[in-house]
Amino acid sequence: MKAHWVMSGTGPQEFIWQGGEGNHPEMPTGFGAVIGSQNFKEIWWLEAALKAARSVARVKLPAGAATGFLVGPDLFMTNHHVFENEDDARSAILQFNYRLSVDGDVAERDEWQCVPDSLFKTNPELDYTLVRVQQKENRSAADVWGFLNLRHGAEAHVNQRVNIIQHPQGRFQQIAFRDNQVKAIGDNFIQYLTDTDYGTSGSPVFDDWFHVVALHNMRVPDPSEPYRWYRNQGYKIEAILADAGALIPV
Amino acid sequence: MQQKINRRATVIFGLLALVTTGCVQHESGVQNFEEIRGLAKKAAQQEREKYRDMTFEEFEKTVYHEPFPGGKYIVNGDTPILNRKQLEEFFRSRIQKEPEEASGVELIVHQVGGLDAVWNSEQKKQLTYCVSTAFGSDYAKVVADMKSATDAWEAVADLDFIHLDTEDSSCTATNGKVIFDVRPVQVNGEYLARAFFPNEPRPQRNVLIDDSALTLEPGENLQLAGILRHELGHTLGFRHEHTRPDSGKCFEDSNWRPLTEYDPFSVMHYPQCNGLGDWTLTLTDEDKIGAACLYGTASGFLLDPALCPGGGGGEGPKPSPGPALTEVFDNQSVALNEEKYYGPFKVVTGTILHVEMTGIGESGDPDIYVRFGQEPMVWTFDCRPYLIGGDEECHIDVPEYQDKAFVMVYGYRAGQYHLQVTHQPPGD
Repeated sequence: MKAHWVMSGTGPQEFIWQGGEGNHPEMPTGFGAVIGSQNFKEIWWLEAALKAARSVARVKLPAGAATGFLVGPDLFMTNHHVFENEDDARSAILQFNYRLSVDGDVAERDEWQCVPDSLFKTNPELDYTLVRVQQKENRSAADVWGFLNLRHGAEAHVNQRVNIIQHPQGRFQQIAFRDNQVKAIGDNFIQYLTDTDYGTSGSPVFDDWFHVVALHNMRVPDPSEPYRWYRNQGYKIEAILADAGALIPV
Repeated sequence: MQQKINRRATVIFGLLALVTTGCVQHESGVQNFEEIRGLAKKAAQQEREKYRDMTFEEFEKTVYHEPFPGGKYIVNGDTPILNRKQLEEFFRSRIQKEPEEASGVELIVHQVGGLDAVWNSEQKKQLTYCVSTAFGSDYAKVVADMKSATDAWEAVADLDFIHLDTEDSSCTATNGKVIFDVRPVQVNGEYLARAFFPNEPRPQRNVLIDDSALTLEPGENLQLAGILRHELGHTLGFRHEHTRPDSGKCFEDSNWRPLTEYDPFSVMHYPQCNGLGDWTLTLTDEDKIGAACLYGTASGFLLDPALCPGGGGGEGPKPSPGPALTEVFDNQSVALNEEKYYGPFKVVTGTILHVEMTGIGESGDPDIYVRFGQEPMVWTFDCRPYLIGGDEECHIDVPEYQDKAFVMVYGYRAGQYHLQVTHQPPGD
């Protein structure tokens, strides 16, 4: 058999030297290659991210800011430590479309308020709060910004990538989607490498299909190196669904 | 005087006890920095716990307050706090609240919000000062030691301290011809000297030297020139290397960022509150690198940019700045706790942003907040003078990678004001 380079496999393509002794001729050039793990995404992935981002709001508080998202026509979710009680929810302004546009200008934000007298459910163990959003001119917040359906049945698993749309430090909306593997899964929580910061509390943690698989709530110290944060953590949506029951729409 | 000497002796004895007991000594005199840092942290926690359950009013009574008009509150030995409003914030955020873990490395620079409180590129080349003739027979010594101290910083960083001796006979806090004044003070050894941070307004920009710093024993390591090197470090924005609270009222503080690896002999160690140095208070290599990273290198001082935080990387293309634009917002008002937003204002890295607020009438207490890239909030900003009243300004360099600035006026109390923003957007 004549010595030559052959293509191997149908997945990530590699050239393999086949047969022959002595020096290899130069490897074929002009082709792409997958370096390390495969990073291709279908282009719809960006559309899905932008669609999901519409339902994510900056939570403006009297002394700070956090993140939350619509999970039903009038229903907003964030952390318990963001809205510990009804007064916290009453004092907040939910700011949708709080972001920069592609030309670098500040987009026009849309502000809504909570009506905890109508519905307020909180759970410190799973660190979540659900609260009703007041309608404006007979329109619900989701009529304008859509909502994230939590009853999708997807679960996170180790080494899966998870993305977080968030307002870290109260900043214009950001997405963290690099270096973002899930590293551990507990009964009620998952831990991941996706970046967060103060103000990310209450953000949705998405899988690559933009299903919300967790509610981000904290950072985790490295047990082997004090004072270093090594993972972030959120409670599983399935645990929150089990606790909230019929409050969250099908 | 006896009281002053005893006070100093206690501080220095405390230092020697730390270095010589419990730790096997290094060549440098210190064996285990991590251990000492751990001890310092624990001691600071204990110190904070003494004050944590106090009301602010109770805490305020424990803090030394300079007994003259415009006097500052003094914490951590010689760290000035400008006014009661800022002291209350210090109490709420640094005493009652557990501080953020530091990364454990320093030379540390004072930060206001997220941005270093430093002189901008124009100001750093004209740091004029006067030395009061009220020093009397010590005047010549103070002039010489200020010269020695300013020379030490100018030798490494791109700075220019200028002694305007024509102003020495009228060297007061209100002399507007100088950036800061150097004057004697009588505080009975409460501190040896105290200075200011770059973000403070003119009347508070003074280096005050207590009599105790002018009567140090000749031949001891601790001398006025070293104290002034340390105090000028504060005037450039540097904070203490490592607060060690064994002398009381010294609290760790998270309002800084490290510029260099931990340096036990830094000039920013200090007898009043902390330290492991030998009290000559000379600039170590780490101090020199830190200063040069922050202000650029002095002519003849070689610096590897990779030693600076975020250094060594390439720079992206920068647009050229166009002509400066001034935008005026007249007859504004803000209610108590209200936030009013202005901008964004387009800017170019390396130019200067100048935000100036002027109170109207009995202006109340509006506060300006400035942030690059994002809207400021009351707890996140790059510049916030936080003065009492309606007259405030931010005069700051636009940092790397920033193309827009936002301004907020917050009603600490309701107020009326004019606002003026001068910025340089990209040219065509």
